Amino acid sequence: MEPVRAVEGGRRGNRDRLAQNRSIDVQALSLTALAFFLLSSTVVGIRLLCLARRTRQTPELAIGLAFLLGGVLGYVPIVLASAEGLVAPAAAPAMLVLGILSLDLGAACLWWFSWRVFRSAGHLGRVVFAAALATLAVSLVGEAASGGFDRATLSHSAWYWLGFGARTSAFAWCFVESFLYFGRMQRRVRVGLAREVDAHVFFLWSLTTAAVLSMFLLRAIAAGSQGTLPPLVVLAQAVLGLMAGALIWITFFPPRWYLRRYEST
Amino acid sequence: MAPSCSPAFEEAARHLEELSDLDRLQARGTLRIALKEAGLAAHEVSGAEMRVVVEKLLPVELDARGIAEADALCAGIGERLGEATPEAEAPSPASVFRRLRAR
Repeated sequence: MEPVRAVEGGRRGNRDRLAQNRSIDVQALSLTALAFFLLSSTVVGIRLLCLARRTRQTPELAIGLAFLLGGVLGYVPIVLASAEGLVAPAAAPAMLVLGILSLDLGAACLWWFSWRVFRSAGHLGRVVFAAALATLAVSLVGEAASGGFDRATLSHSAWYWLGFGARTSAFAWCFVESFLYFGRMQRRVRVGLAREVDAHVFFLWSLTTAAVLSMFLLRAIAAGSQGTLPPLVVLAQAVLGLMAGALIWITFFPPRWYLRRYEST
Repeated sequence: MAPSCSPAFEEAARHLEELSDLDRLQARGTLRIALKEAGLAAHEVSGAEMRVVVEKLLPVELDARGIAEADALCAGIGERLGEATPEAEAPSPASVFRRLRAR
């Protein structure tokens, strides 16, 4: 019996090592995806801010700031504050405040962009924007008043999730508006009032925002899991991160092969 | 509150009302339906876009409502639509995204 036990034990050990290796692979892919997403949003954000400096127009300023504040300037302080040993424990709450404030400002810029670009006529956009700002402000004040911004308890706070909901819904609004507008642009293409390439950008933007929105939703669903996230969730987030990073690039900095394809139709 | 209509829409609706038997409400409603078919809305349509809608889509809508000689009527509206019809005040999402992608 002893040799059989030894073989079974060996098999179990191999399985554990294999699972651990897979987990490391998925974590590495996840970090690569996050880095690619942050790099893409940073480069495109800077490019849009340069455009805003030339044109003096507010939509490019808003979307450029949304990419930078909601990307690298928001996530880097949060990741640094959340990881063990990267920053002094006393500095972690300040880093979290900085990161969340940046994410909130980025979301506000995105709300503003959707309002001014898609809903500038009428009062609906103004009301939705004001409600979103109020929600973000209430979540920040509530978190501060309840002695929050502690990395250990932050994700258990109702105030945090209120702000998270407001930030997530900024992407949901972008997705709905751009997808609806894509449908309208397709009609214009059919009667010769728009080019295919000008219609397709709204499909790309709706896909981009859907990918980011899905990342947020997965984060919310996975919040209930204790300890490390299930590898499947991490893998899905990584794939969505890679998708979003590539789509941001193609939407705002279309490569020549893409333009050739759609401008020829 | 509904957003106000663009100058191009107001002008085309006025001409349609004058040249047909449609009353104000019917003329504006028919024009709105034609615009919707083209993926446009009354508050954002420009003069150039309105001319295309009047030429390509409005005759179909007028035919469907039993208006006689819809093509000639639309040609008349097209002629009356001034070349210098002021554009809508706010830039369209399409024009904003075109600018955002400019190299």
